[in-house]
Amino acid sequence: MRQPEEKSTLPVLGAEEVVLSDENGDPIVDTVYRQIDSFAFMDQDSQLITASTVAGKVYVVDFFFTSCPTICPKMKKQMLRIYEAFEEEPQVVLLSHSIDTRNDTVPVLHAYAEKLEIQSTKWHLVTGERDAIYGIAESYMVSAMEDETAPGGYIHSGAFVLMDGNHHIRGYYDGTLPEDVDQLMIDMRTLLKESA
Amino acid sequence: MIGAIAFLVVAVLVVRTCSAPQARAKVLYDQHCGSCHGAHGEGFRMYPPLAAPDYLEQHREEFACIVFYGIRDTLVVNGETYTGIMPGNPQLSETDIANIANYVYNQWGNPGGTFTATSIARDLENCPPKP
Repeated sequence: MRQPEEKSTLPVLGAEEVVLSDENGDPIVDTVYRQIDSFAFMDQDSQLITASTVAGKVYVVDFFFTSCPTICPKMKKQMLRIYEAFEEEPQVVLLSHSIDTRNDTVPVLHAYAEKLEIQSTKWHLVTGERDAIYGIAESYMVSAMEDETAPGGYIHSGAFVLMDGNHHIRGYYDGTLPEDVDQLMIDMRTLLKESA
Repeated sequence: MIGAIAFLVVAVLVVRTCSAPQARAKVLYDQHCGSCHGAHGEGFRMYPPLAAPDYLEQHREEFACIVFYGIRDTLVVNGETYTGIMPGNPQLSETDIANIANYVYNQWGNPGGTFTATSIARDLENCPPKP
């Protein structure tokens, strides 16, 4: 088991793209990391959530569904720890995507949020078009799929994805493991310092 | 001497056989119920507690139905209202459900009771029709 540790910087993860640009006639080869900045979802209070909602923030992304009987309760308990630790830090936002686009309507997400006792200013539980949700999961490189043989009807990763204010992926953590989430919270503080 | 050893072996086997259902029940509970309802039946936010003597007493015959078919309803447990969906567990056998029911009903201040695969099968036959 890895011990939580503070790092001075965090790598940028995700798909790289090599681009050729031109500066004063000199060709410049540059590596650009993909930004996940094209989405529009609805949260538990019917707020439109887009990339501009989280621009400049340090945010944590995950995938779940409200009737999930397996790993979600563990993930939500851990996300709640993050919520409570950063409740007074306006630069931190949490973004949980429901992959059950049939059942998890805005009122269902609203009731779930009320039971979790969370505010939508800090923690957005979002829904959207089925293809958009599964498409964005792929962009974050997190697995999510329907499977009627699975408990609850869906299979998904328990990953928490750490994102920076430029919509770059900065870390992956197992959202069911308290010690991994300890590391995530340390890394969130590193990113907050970076963007300060 | 041989008699004493034989007695001990038999005694150990009997104890192991008798304690097995309880151990098996805990494994089943932890695997299928505990992540939402808590290791001690305490529940968590949107997940109702199973340390709930009144609810369990009033829904003895429905317990198997809820475990097997799941439930989509508004429930009041220990004075708190819960809405949402609990998925069913159709992969569980009647013996598994009996083990889970015996485990849940006989601790955490719950009302007690004995369930068997036969009694669970009968309960499943009489489940209320789904809306």
